[in-house]
Amino acid sequence: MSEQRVLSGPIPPIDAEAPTDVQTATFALG
Amino acid sequence: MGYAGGTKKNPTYHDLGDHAETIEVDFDPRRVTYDELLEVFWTNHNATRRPWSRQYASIIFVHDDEQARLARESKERFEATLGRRVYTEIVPYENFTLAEDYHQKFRLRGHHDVAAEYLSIYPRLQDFVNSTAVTRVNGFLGGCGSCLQLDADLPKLGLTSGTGSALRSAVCGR
Repeated sequence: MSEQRVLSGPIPPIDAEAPTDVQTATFALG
Repeated sequence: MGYAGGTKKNPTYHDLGDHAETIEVDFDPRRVTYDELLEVFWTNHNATRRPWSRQYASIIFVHDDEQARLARESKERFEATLGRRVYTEIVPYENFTLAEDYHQKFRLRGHHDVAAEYLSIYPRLQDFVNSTAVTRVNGFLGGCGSCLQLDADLPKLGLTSGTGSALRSAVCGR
């Protein structure tokens, strides 16, 4: 997913060091 | 939260087809590694039990070769530690369908005043789901993080003072 996706919205991101390398993990936990 | 792993188009909670209930997490690898997320995965469900149904399968959907390698190695370590078979599948990520709005940020939705304020700030479901503030508060209300951490975060969460106080009572009063 893109950085854009994570940083969208009117409230600035928490821990606002804007990540440059956002990765995605996907799990089904039973 | 959503559905993945199957072939049915446009799955819904009541018509899931061959998909499994799935969570998707965007993360900054400088702050948390994929290996650490895998540890959270193993310790938050019972992967040694044969799944009741496809809906409740244990699956790691890998996004690239590196995730595939780390997932395989992690599963091998986990199985060796337990000395038992682990039923978790490791499959390539293909598609993920976002679940209906009432499934998103479930712990937060149980606190109607806080949820209502965030839903007014983020009227679009996708923005609500992607907000780091909403995600953080959902975690606090789900029992993760301390009252001290909440106090440090509160000014950054975008809530009015009244709703912030209600959140603080819910998190710190338990």
